[in-house]
Amino acid sequence: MTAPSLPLYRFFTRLRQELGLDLDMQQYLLLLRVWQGGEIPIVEWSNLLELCQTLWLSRAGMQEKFEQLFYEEVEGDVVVYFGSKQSPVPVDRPAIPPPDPFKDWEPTKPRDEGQNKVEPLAQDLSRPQAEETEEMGPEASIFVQFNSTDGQDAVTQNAERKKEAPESRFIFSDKYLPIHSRKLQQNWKYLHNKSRKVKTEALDISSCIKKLVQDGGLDKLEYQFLSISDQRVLVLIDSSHSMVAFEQLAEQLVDSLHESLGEEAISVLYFNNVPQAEYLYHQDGYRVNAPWLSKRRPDLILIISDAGAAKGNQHKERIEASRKSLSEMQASGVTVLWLNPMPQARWLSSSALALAFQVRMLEINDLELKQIPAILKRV
Amino acid sequence: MVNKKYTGEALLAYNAEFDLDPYFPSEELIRAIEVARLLKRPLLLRGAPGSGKTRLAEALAFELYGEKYQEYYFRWNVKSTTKAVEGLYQYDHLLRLRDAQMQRDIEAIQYWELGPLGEAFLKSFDESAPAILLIDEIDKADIDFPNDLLDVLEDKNKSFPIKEEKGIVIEAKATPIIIITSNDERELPEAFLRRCVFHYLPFPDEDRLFDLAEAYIQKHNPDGELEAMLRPLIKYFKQKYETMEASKTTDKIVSTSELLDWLRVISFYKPYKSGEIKVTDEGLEFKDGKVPYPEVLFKSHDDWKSNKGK
Repeated sequence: MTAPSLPLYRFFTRLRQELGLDLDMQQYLLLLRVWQGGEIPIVEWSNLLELCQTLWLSRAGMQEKFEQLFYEEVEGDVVVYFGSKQSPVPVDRPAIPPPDPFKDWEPTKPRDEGQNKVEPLAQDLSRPQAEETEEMGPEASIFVQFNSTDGQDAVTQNAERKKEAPESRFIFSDKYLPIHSRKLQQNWKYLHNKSRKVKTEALDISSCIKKLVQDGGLDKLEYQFLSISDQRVLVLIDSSHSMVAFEQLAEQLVDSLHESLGEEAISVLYFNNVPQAEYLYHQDGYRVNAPWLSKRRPDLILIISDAGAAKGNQHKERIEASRKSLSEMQASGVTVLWLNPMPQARWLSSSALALAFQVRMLEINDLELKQIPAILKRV
Repeated sequence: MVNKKYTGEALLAYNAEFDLDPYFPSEELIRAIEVARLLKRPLLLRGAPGSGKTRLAEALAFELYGEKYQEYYFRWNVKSTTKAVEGLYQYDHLLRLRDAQMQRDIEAIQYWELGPLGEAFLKSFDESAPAILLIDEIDKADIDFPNDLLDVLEDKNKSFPIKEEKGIVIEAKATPIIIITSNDERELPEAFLRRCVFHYLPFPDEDRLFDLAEAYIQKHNPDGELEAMLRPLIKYFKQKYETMEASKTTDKIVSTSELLDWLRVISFYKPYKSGEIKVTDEGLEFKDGKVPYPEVLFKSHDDWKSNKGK
């Protein structure tokens, strides 16, 4: 089934995907409610943009990108003619009622069923229409077209847009995960604070100018500094079947580490059920030797695995093999934390219980992960 | 008020009767207020200090209710220790316990006192005449405060019980107009943001600063000579603001409150009479190139050192 085309819906979706704004359908419906209601007059492009900003722009720093996406989309899904984009309608003009978006709530019709037909907004209205005054003139009317294109060029553009469109209409948001990215980053703060400042070769122009103005001369050049983390973190992710449901969660954890400590400080390896030294893999499938035995061993190993808690199994062999690996890691002086996405109540009847006696195991949720800085401080 | 629309025209000059400074809302802000009223959602106002976030609620109340505005306007100054429930009411448990021990029979109403949010609910007895509540500087509060407010901010929740007293419920017939200000000092929870509508107040432009400054001078220390040199003073201030904003080393950017304090000091000591400030064709000229009363404008030692010269 083709996705129904609603006014500014693609724009709304792109705000969620590209700007990461945490918007829900309720907020999209608010736009329709205000726009259709007609109490807030929409007579110019900027009025519609302002309304979208008032309802959706929850982060001030994203204003520029928000506007850019808006204009990209209004020229696409909703074609609005004011004569030209550059000559906005004067503010004192009467408000022109919006379209009824649900009239077009149906799959996109094939081209030969009139897809190229351009209909003026006024004909699509279920609400009483504003009278077109002589002063306004026909060229000043606003025409809104949904699911239709204006000539062959527009058809091509539409097809290109569809190619770029997201494959799925379902958008993953970290609000569905047991912990928010922001809170995760707070937990890595302790590691981040251990970073040191390193002088780079890039000139710090503003400091140079400041010194020049203050001292009347420049005896030495000022350089920019970069925060470098001395902490090396190895993340071991269980890629077995029972962990499929937690793929996004593991990704979120790794992303938060990257953002807090930088790409260089983090290594990610994968294992299957048991984090054994001999069976660790890179993302591209190459097997690697146990990094905790190398000279540049990590300071912290994070193991992300359900430890059998998803299926509720107890495998003696796996428990023994895991214990052996954990002992090796601990013996090499590395701090090991096991992050388990399954709730603690499920650990009881599985291998997780046995392993939780050997290594600090935390359930992946806000409350449990809050302990990380305190645990690391004690090491 | 009877469904009166906000136009921003009621307070374009200083109102001596109620001691209200003028307020100049932009077209965009007026529309944002109307959207918030229509959807019955709180308006979250963000912007630089001195951009007029806090004063909007009072200006709105004055325009809607005129001389009775204080009956409908409630202000909740948030502190680091503020709890959401305190906005609804506060209960004197200690007094209640003491009276119970002394077997005093006192009416329950003696033990609780409504907070600003509770007062705004109680006052909103008509859809056409809702109260106006300002929740000022929400970022000062505890991290859980915005989430605790969620239930209260829902349009459908128009009543709350006094939990300590069986059967006492405060009911509002209408949703108050809620304006929340934030200095963007920390991120607010997504769930909270979803229930708000937003507006960002930019720093005032030169004309708006001039209007503010002129009204301020006329109110505090009218002086024709100073008013005549107000334009170049504002121009100097705006340039200083832009320079400090662009600089990465600025500790605290000057805001309108510093401008108004500076003008007040200038209007009191009148340095323009002694030639410390002169207006030339090129703008302002300071004696020996030193800005008079820099301590009023620049609030950190580094900013002072960097900006005290013209």
